Amino acid sequence: VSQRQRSLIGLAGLVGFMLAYTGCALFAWPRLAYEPVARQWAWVKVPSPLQMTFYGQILWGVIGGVAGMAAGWLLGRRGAEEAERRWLAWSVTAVVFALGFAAWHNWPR
Amino acid sequence: MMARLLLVLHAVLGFLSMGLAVHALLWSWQRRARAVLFARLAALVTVAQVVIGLVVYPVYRVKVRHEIFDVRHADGQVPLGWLGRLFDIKEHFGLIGLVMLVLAWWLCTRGGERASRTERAAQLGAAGLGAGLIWVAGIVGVLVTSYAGLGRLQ
Repeated sequence: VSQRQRSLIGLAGLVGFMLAYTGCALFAWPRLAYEPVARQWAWVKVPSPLQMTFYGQILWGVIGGVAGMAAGWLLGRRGAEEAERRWLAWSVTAVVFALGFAAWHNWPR
Repeated sequence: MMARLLLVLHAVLGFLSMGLAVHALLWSWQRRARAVLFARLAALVTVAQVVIGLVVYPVYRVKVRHEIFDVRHADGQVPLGWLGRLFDIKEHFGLIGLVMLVLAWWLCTRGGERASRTERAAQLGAAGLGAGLIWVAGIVGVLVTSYAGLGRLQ
């Protein structure tokens, strides 16, 4: 794996992670949730106040990250520096989007 | 008792990861030979720290969030509700910080000698943002714990 391909795999993985991590909360995808009083796991779309969906959100992020890395590996085989710059720009966008959503969604009111 | 021990370990690893993340950033910036080592250590220590945090998280959710922060007073106000929300932001920022540190390790080359300008910008950006987010998470974590760590003493 060349340094450029390695870079594209990493950046595409980052984009995939951030989009899936944020998308599952934004669009209420079914997520793995843990209910700590009953000590039960469940797949939920809209969690109860005690259900913790953070684990499921991380799982979605990992799935998105792995998918992104696979896409980066495929694209990186004939990637030019232009592609690298484009993926860097998308990475910055995805991270700003994820951080912004996390702050906005949970901001103390 | 086990949750308290894990919380202490979580805090110790947190301070360690804050230091290692800054080391990784500075060593990468200066293209020093040990940049890869510090990037690797920062990522691995932060992984361990986050995993321990995820193990303790259910205890926090019941003993602190549910029993202290989200308690509604007679006047209908939830005076400590903002702490629970701040903690949630810290959790997300900490996790995204971890992802950035793993990416910084993935992109790190020995001395940065083979990296293009774009690759170097990506690596330094990941290391810098990762370190910043880990610091934010650490400071907010200490702030929230100063109000309530794992609930009332038993």
